[in-house]
Amino acid sequence: MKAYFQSRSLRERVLLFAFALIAVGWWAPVAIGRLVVLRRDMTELKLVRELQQIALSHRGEVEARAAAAGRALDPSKTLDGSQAFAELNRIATGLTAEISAQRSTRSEQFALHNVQVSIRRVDIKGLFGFYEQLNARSPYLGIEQCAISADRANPGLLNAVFRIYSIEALRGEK
Amino acid sequence: MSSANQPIQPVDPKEGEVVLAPGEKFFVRRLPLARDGEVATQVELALEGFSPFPAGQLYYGFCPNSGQTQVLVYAAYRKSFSAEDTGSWLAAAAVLPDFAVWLGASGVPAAGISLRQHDGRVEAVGWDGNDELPALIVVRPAGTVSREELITEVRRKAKLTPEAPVRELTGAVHANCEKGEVLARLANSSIEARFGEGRLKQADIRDKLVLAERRLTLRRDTLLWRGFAATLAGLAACLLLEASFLGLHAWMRGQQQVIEAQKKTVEQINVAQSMAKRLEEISAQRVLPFEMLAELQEKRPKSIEYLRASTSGLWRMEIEAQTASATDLRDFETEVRRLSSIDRVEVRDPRTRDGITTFVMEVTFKPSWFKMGGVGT
Repeated sequence: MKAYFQSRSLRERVLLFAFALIAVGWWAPVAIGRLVVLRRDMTELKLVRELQQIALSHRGEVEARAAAAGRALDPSKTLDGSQAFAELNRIATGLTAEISAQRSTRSEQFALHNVQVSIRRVDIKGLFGFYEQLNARSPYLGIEQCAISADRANPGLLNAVFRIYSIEALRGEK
Repeated sequence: MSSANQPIQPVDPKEGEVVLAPGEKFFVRRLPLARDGEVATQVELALEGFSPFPAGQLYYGFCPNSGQTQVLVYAAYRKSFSAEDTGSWLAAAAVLPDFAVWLGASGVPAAGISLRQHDGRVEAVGWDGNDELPALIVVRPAGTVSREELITEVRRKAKLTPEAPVRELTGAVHANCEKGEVLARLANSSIEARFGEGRLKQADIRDKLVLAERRLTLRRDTLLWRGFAATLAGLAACLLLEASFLGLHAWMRGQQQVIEAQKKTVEQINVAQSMAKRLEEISAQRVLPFEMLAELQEKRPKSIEYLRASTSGLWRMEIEAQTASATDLRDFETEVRRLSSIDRVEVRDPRTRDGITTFVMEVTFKPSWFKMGGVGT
């Protein structure tokens, strides 16, 4: 290569050098940019793999923990989505309530159903009655989150929004 | 043109090669050197004295001894070299007379004569035993002078005794570049001479200005080549990088497939994990908004009215409230902070308008506060 290069005229050598320089100047930043992206992707991939390995290595432990948590529950008292919906309707009887089912989360052994209950213009006694009936079904039916506010039109009354969960034992059903 | 009129070797010199010019074209003198004075200047002055031609019409070189007390000067009339000969010199690494092989003695050789016959020439080198440099070098075309006549001439001019031995050699001289030096070697013998960069500048017979110009050209060419080689290396690195990208992408695809294959199982494990955690939480504790409000109720000044209360997680409650007395807000916060069941209290966004102060109070209860004897027990 050296002999070939040195045997060219000065103009040819300068042109060859310039073309090679342009090629490197164009290619190198592109290649380096791709290398950076690839390195980032590889790091992310490695992290995902490590997280997966951690999860897989703790699989037995997690299943045992879930089973232990489930043993504290009576499968006959658990409620599926429809049962929870019906039970909440019963509890909210006499109140101005709007009940809507939301998402469910399922594992192999259990499912958690979420239901939103909005109660409007209720006095404190009526709201407490609802709360007590709900607590009576605990832990199979319970409050995930709640917000209580005074009614603007009538400060003596309250509006409340409850996000309520219900537990369903899937294996128990089987 | 006869072979005697051509550079001996190589015939078609390329860069890095050494041209050996035929010795019979040179006249040679060994001269004493003054201690103070540049060698090159002294040589030029000496040439003016003994050369039949002006220095500008000569190709000359010189070689001082290690003590810088003597110098061997050799010069040739420029016109005795054809344009073809000198044209080939431009690209050569060095142009030396072929008798330069005798200029590398490490000590002072014993008095005597070295006689070399090769390629139609007879070369006689006279050593006087006083210096590492030859006292005399005479080169004649074979047949123009007899062996005895040449020896007699050398004995006379070098002032050697008749007993001075004559050593006969026949090998060719070869020269090449080795590790930044020019090495001239006599075949079939141990005789050799090395010329480093400094020594070569003096010994090279080419025009010194031309040599300087050539060095500049060489430097430019070297830089150009190194730059080109570096960019080629860069291109090769880019190519290597691209090839490695292909390999890495293939590896990543394999990893991605493994991840996809395990994804569902891992999701199930994660769901089971969060479900187990949630069930544990539910079994141990539940959200108690009314109990939380009751815990705070005893400390609430009558001027403070709740507008909204909401829970966030198991232990946190956010209360939006208003009061007609701003000092009650401070008292309320202080009293709540004193409760043993409270972990943290933060009052945010206090605003006063038309004498009514509104604020948001975020209260975090201690975990298990309810079991610790809260209102609902």
